[in-house]
Amino acid sequence: MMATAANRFRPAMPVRPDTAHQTKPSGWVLRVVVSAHVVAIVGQPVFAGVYLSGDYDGLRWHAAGADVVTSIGYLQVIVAIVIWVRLRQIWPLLATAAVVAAETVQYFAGLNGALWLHLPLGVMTIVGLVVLFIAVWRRPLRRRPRPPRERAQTVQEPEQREAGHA
Amino acid sequence: MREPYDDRTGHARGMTRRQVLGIGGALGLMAATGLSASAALSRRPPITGAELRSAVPLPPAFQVPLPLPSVLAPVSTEGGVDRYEITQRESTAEILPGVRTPLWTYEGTFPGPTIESRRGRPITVTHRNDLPVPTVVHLHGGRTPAASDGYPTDLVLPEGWPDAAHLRRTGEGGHGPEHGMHGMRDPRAVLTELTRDYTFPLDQRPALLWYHDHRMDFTAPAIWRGLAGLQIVRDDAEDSLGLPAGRRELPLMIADRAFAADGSLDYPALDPTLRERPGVRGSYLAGVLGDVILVNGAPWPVHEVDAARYRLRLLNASNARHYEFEAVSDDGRRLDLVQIGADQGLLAAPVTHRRLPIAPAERYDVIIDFSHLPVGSRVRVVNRLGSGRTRDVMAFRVVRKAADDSRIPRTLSNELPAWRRSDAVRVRDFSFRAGRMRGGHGWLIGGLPFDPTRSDVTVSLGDVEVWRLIADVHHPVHLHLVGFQVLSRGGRPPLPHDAGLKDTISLRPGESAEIITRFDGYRGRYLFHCHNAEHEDMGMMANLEII
Repeated sequence: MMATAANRFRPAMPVRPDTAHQTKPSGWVLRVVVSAHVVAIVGQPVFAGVYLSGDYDGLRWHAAGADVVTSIGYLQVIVAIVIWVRLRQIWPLLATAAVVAAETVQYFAGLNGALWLHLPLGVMTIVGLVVLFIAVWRRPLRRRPRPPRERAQTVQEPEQREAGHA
Repeated sequence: MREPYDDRTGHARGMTRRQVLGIGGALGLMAATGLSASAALSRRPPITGAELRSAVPLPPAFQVPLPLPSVLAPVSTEGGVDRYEITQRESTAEILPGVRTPLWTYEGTFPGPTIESRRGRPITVTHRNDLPVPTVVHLHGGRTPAASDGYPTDLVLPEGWPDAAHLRRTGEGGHGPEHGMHGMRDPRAVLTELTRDYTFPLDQRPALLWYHDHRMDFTAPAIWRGLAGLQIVRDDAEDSLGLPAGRRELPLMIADRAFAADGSLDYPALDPTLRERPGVRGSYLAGVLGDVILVNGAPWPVHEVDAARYRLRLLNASNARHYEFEAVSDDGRRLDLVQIGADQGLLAAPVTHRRLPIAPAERYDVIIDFSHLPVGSRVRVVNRLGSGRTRDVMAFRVVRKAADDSRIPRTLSNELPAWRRSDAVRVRDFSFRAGRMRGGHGWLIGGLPFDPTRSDVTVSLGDVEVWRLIADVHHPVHLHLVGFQVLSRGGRPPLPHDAGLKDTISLRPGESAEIITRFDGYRGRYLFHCHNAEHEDMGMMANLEII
């Protein structure tokens, strides 16, 4: 029902099944950064397992991986800010901020050997990042139309819903 | 998702705002619940082991005076060798006021008598086994020839033990039907009947050592029942430093125990006679902790001191309990613990701590200064890793002003080895972790449980090696024969308390360390193992063959 409502008020929208074409360059940058972030973070439990199996180098990889993951995280914050400014989409920034906050806590929990926190938070951080990965790829990252006041009240509802996607 | 995908606009309008908030909220709630549960259920700080509860009323802390173990007199000092005799026998002691506790002891006391020795002056200790089970003595920290190092299968059999008759017939050891690991035979084992002479050349740096039972599969319950004593090695250089001495030098053997309703020491052994079946009940597989802290065999003792410097020679003789000591005066001030020595003797220079972590079998040589405290004040030694009664350890009461001519020199020793990474001819990795052994729970080194017949590490006499050790839970790793230096911990520089020459390194959960040592002294078959005594009995040992 929402789709019909939206279509009724946006008849000029071209019909294009390939959603990726509608993603703006800054959106593409976010997709690339989030993808790299996921790849890097998946390495962390791998290296931890290698380390605990008795391979001392696993610890160095895990530590280097932590640096890489958190660095990509901060880069992603910058990209998400750009998305917010250019595309007026704030949800990537909010999600990224949550992930990066968790990663920062995670980093120091690991250094301090607080495994009670490090293990569950690590699992949750990966889950969060995977959800974000799905969110940025499953639909286009476009500029959010300037919504209110300019249009009729009936238009506002679907647009706000769109903005609320996360 | 009521609105899946709108292919006319190419816009996936997957979820409503309400759904997003709902799913996000649910995920957030799950994360918060998970982390809270982890925070609530986890032991913070982590502890490896399970605590026994005493079934008798426990005395209040800081009432019992601190005992000092008696110094054993040699039976002979002829020919440049001091000869001692120790009888291992059952005895009874009043550890808790009004409670009689049967013990296994060296010379009838717990701790056993202290042996005072001089660097380079050999001693021979004749141990006689009057206990109901085989025993073998290891001098922890001793630079000892393999034949006297107390290898776990080199047993001294008591009178009437099944192997003894066989031994008399054949005149040789190692073929007994029941020694070592549950039918596992060790052709190199040296069995004797009733007595054994242990010879210690003591060609080593002055240090606090300790002797304890090291019987295959049964080390933990034997130490728990009382088979532990101190040995101190001294030399002229250390004597001339001007450190606190005489009655201002206190050896402190700290050990936790629990008491059963009949006053005996409670221990969750599968075979309470400790004759055949090794092991502990399931919940204690990670280590046995007691709820009573004994110092030199007394519960939470108090010691009267002068307002002066004291030298505390700390040994953690607990099976599995780790401590983190802090000295706090009753007005809340924290006293400095000035570390002057480690497991294997004096540091190059003193290191000042506020808190000092100590794992099973580790030793610290520490100066504490009571001189600025008014007469009548009390200083408690507390354990920051403890909870409830195990938070207290002991106390000192300052009872008189006194002159103090002791000092802490800025240079303590200049004979510490200067091994560099580049000296190492080999780097080895060892994991210390839980695993399966003989169809049950075990503790493994490099994935393998202990086998006396397998050579795990073979090194040439004089080789320098770097070992990289990785732990899953707490594992205090001990090397026989040699002292080592800590190169790194967790990939970062060593901690302040890692200074000096050590023979036991405490690894905390998930932690790793690099150590460096030169394997010199004597050739033969030695051990390295986890000094959580329960882990040690459940496979966490490996052979170190020096050729």
